[in-house]
Amino acid sequence: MITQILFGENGIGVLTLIFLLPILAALPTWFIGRVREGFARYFALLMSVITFGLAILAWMMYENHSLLDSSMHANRDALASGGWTLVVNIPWIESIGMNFSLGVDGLSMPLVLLSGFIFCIAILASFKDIHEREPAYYAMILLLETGVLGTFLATDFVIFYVAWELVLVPMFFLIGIWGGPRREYAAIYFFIYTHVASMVMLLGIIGIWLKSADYPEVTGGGGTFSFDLLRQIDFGAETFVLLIFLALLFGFIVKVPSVPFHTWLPLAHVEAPTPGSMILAGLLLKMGGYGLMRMSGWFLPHALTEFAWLVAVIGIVSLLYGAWVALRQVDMKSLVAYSSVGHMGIVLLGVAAQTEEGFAGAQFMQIAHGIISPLLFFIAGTIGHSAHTRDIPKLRGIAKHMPITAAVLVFASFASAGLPGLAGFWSELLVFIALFEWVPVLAFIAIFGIIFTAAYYLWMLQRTVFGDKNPELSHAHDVSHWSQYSVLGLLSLFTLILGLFPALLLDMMTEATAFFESQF
Amino acid sequence: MSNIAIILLPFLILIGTMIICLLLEAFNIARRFTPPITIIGGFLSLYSVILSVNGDISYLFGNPVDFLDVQTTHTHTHPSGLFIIDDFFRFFAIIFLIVLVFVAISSSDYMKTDYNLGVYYSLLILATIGMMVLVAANDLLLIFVAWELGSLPVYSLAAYQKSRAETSESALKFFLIGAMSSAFILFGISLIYGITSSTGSLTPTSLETVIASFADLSSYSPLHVLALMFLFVGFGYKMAAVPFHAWAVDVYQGTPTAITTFLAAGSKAMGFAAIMRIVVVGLTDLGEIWGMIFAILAVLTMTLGNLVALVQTNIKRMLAYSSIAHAGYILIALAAAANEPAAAITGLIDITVGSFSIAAAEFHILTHAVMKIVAFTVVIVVSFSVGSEEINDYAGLRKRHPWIVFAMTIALLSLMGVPPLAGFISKLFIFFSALYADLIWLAIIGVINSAISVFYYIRVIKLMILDPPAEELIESHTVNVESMKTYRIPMSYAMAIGIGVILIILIGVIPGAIFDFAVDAANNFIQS
Repeated sequence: MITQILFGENGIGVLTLIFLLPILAALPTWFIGRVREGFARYFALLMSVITFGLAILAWMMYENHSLLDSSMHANRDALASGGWTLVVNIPWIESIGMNFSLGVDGLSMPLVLLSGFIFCIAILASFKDIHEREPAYYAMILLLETGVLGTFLATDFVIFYVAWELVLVPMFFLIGIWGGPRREYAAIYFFIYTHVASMVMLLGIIGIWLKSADYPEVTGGGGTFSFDLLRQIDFGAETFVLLIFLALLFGFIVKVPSVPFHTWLPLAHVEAPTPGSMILAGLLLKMGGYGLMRMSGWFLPHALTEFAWLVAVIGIVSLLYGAWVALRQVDMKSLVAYSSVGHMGIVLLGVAAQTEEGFAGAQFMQIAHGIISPLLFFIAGTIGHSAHTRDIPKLRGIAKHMPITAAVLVFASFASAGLPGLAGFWSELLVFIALFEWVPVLAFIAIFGIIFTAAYYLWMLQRTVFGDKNPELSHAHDVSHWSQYSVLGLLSLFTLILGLFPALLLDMMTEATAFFESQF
Repeated sequence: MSNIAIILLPFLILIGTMIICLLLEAFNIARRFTPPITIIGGFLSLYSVILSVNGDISYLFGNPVDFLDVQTTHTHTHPSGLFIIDDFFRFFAIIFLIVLVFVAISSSDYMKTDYNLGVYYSLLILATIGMMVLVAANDLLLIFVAWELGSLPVYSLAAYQKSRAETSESALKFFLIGAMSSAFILFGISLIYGITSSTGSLTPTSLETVIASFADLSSYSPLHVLALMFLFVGFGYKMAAVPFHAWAVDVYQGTPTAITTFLAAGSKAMGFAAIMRIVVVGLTDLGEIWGMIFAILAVLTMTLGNLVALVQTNIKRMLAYSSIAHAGYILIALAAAANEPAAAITGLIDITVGSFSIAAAEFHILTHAVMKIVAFTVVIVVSFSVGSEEINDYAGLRKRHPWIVFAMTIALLSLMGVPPLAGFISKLFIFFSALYADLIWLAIIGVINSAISVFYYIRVIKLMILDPPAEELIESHTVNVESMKTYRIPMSYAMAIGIGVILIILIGVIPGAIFDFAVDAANNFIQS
């Protein structure tokens, strides 16, 4: 009975629960923290674990898993034509036809799982890191979770925009209150940069709404924000559509971020608290990538064909520039931040190739990077915490002082550099296959990016992990708390699982990849 | 008879409340009950308005013989009467009464040391009555009388703390500018009287006569244009639209902050209500002319408001410019109402471009009022606690007043247009009205302006939450150290702010019902 109400055909819907649970839990978390300092973290962890559990349930429903009652199975018929399943559609502002609509497909399902997972991890990572104003901190994290999940779950552009913007405010406070020495500057910079980009994106959304009014046979008259209707419209590649594409592209690549709009990222990363960096790198960047993939594959494929060169150029420049600049970084967090710029460039390249392999590779990169970069940021934060510095030249010989951390750092660096058998490898492989089919020269140039990536990681490892004992680091101590072990362990485990069984992810999005290619 | 009493109940309650306040003052008994009496009276009146929302249109005082007859209709067959009580009236009456209740709550502490409480509150109520009569008026002369009734008490309220030099200065400025705008309106009305009385009409200033006379484009004379221009200028002052905005900033800064709230949330709405009643709905046939004027005014108003707000150092001045910018957003919706108002919007039932635009304007007036109430009430609290209205002195406020900072953050984010707060939804509606009316360029300028506004709002949030309190402020005694430590926020402010914040969030998350009501209000009087 209860399962029917919650997950049944006309029930509340599992996605609504995933979307609303964190935001509804935010205020109670704050209150609990006010009553008993120190309880907020456990309550927040509990809530995020429940949210992750619901995400897994949604995934089992999505996969029509045999453990579930058949009445809870999702109807996957719509997926092949780019539709959504587990759809929730509740009228929101009836007088102007706005709906609160959520859904998942092959593109968003992995990202929803990733978000649920990374938020649990980020809250765990906060246990030893955040000691100031805990109640407000955990409330902000939960608020952020709703924003991130909402962005991936939304199947209506207004909900998408609301969730997209909802992310900014808590992130602003996370950086601004719990951040490093230049936190205020970083927070303001982050907020203004991304908010102005969102405004441009809003213009694009308004544009697509206006354009959709030209297709009354699909929309039933008037414009529409519904993803489901928009994907059925065959927007051409006329000038207005190209402008819409550019406006949306700008909004997305600022979030990704790509060169030359990446300047907020290293600043925000260096100043943000470690869990904030983990969420920022693991999930917020993915919102940009998700937006790009959704827009290109589902709404404006012909515009992508026109502008594939632009997306590819931005991608390849980001890849090379990010890797090149990462070589010169002194701060370890900054190095990982620039490596993110480079890796997200691969996402752009994969999308630009307009093929199944490219799409799958881009999505794989999103997930793999979403697991590996939080791991790297956590290690950088831990080292900074215990060694009191994150400057690579001062960190000689941490393997002797912090053996576990150093070991995981080596593992994560190799994973990020794309070592076969680990998560990062498959995405690069798939994207390169796609690039070879599309413009071989690009693949040739991109190889250099990969070489640089390997180079800066190896050089960083050489300078930090190896070497003799360092008297300046005699105070450094290794991870010791259970929360730290679980963060390192879980993230490493998933890096390995995803590397050994890539089909887990690829199977989830077979319909989506096929649909993506069929659009071109 | 009983019928008319029920219809006029909101007015009667307010008048009764005002008389009680004055009597308490005159006989010097139980004067400390004046604020609660005003709040209760305002609330009862608000309740009676909300109860009477039913889509009826009642015409009052139409027939000299049966003066007290009420003609109630749904189909607008009796277009005569001094008063129209329709949903448009009810929507604005709700705004005005909400403002009254909030200002009365936040004044109760502000004014508690003042001797003449009864006078203060009765002036507040009187101004509200004037504004409510204005939205119900169906005759230019009555509109003028109501305009004065809504303005004169506010002039005296602005001058209420006459011992402060800057208050006297700004009150004088306010009064002179206000008198001038009244003169403009009166002159416009007299020109219209000249035009319409020559047609031999029995009721030359009734809105129907005016509209009919202006609708005939073939008999257009320069007088028509001149009359309209005068009305525009007169109402433009109250709306604080550029280029008639210059007074607003000084006055907002100089007047006691509770009255600033009343000005920004109430009086501004009065200007918009008047112009909507007369121009937007009355003169639809001339839409091309005034639509263009509104569009240009909108661009000027929001751009100037936002740009100048960037460099303000005083929080009240900044909020005043932000208020000007928001007047610009509202003007977008009014400009949109000009463009083929009768065109249906495909996909929506019973909503035309005109009614959508007017509803968007009404909705934004409401949300703007609520946001400004919260923001200015916070300013009052801070000016007592910190002793300053400089933005820089808001640094580190979080340490002293976490709740107040939370409320201010919500209000500023909402003014900025961050979803899912009320300000986002109402701005979205406004941009949509521009799109429905094919004014894409205006919507784009609106969005760009919205992006500019981020800079000055976020600066305040950053100062309040992220920055430490400035030590030098404490040393230089700009900040009153004693009051800083001992100041406890009075219950009345906490209540006003708390309710305001809840409203901002609720309107943002579930705007449907209120917007539907705004659409009804617009439909209701578009057809009349």
